[in-house]
Amino acid sequence: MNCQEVIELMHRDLDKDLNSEESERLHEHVQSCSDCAAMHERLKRLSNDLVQLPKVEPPYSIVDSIMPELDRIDQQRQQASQPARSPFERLRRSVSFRMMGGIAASVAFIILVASGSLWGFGQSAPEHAQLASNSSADASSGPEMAPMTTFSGGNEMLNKRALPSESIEGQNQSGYNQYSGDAPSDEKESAGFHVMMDTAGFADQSYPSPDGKYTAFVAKNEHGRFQVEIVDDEGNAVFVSAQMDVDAVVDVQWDEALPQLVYTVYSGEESAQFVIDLADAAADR
Amino acid sequence: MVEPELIRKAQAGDRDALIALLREIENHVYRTAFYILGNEHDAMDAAQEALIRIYTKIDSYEEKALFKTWVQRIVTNICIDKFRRQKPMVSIEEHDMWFETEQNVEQEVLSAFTAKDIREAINKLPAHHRAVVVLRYLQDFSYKEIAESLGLPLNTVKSYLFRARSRLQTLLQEYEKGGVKG
Repeated sequence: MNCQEVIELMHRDLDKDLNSEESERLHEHVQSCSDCAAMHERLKRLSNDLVQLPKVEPPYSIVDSIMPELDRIDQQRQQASQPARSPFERLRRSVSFRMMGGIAASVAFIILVASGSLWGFGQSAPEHAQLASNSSADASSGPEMAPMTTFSGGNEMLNKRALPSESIEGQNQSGYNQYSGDAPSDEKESAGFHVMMDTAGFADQSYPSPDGKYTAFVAKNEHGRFQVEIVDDEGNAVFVSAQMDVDAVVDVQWDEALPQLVYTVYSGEESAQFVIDLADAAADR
Repeated sequence: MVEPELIRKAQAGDRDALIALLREIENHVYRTAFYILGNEHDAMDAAQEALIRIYTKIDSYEEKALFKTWVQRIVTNICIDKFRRQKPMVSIEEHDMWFETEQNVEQEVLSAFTAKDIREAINKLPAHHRAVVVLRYLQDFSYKEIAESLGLPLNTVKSYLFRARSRLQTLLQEYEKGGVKG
């Protein structure tokens, strides 16, 4: 057994890792080798010194010092877990928001919360579900619209007209909400967004209502613009919003009890909230 | 030793239990940070970061590992990261820090070397060697527990520990011979 091997035994001895046979070999060698004996003594002394290093303690309570940070983390978590704890399905997307002269028609009524004068919407509570289209020409000619078509895909839907089974005749003048202000400028669209959307991932996300009868989603149309859409459980489109460009945030929530979708569009300092009440559409079916 | 019941409560979302748990481990976390980083200021930073991480990640602790090794893994990871970042600009400031902390820290111990001598020698070791020495001597961990904490193979732990001790022994011997020690 050479001295190098013995030194390993010394180290393991310090860590009480030797069996009795190894321990004996170590002691035999140390007794006949003065260099190793000296080394053994030094290592034991060092190990003893290390054991006795002061058990330092922090100068003040670390937990107390991080309490404000822990509170902040809790608050953030609470906010983040809101959708899970509430029955609301929540969607935040960044979609922009220029209305292309289109018409946003609601199924029942629209409540508007718009900041500033950029947004001017009529308000109404029509008796029946009514359709949305992505062209003002179509929307203003509601009575002549095509019969309801079956929804078969987000993009395809945008090229079709969806109508409830009953006529919406006579409702157009008050039943839809027409954008009447200037579109927010592109310059404004770059600031103050909550969440930026990954446009690559948006298409396959949908947000079913709590009762499972409707599905809301944000779809991208053939012009690369975005629309909030709702289809029923048979795939019929019941609502299509006005078009929005990239760079706004859309926050969508289903109400727990009512067949009602609330979506809010944020762009720059502007925001507008829409309540889409589907109760009448459901009654029609 | 943290009671398993306290850990379970903390994992179940009992905030008071989680805070109580952090209070039980804060000294251990600080001690490791202090001896790896070598000064109070960096040790406080690292210990705060470690406790916050434990607070947010308590869910990810699994009982198949020892809680104390899970905790030490978190704090040593943070320390080794910090150590690497601070390395180029150690010297003077850290040196001053030593004298500052000395009064609080040093104890009357019958020992061949002062705690300060030993800590200065520890500061000359590479980060992983420091971590192994600290877990072995300040946390009283076994080889296996050190291996679990640092994510290293058992033989690597032994080899680091043996080399670290040999190096410390050499450094202190040189120091003694140099007669610097009063």
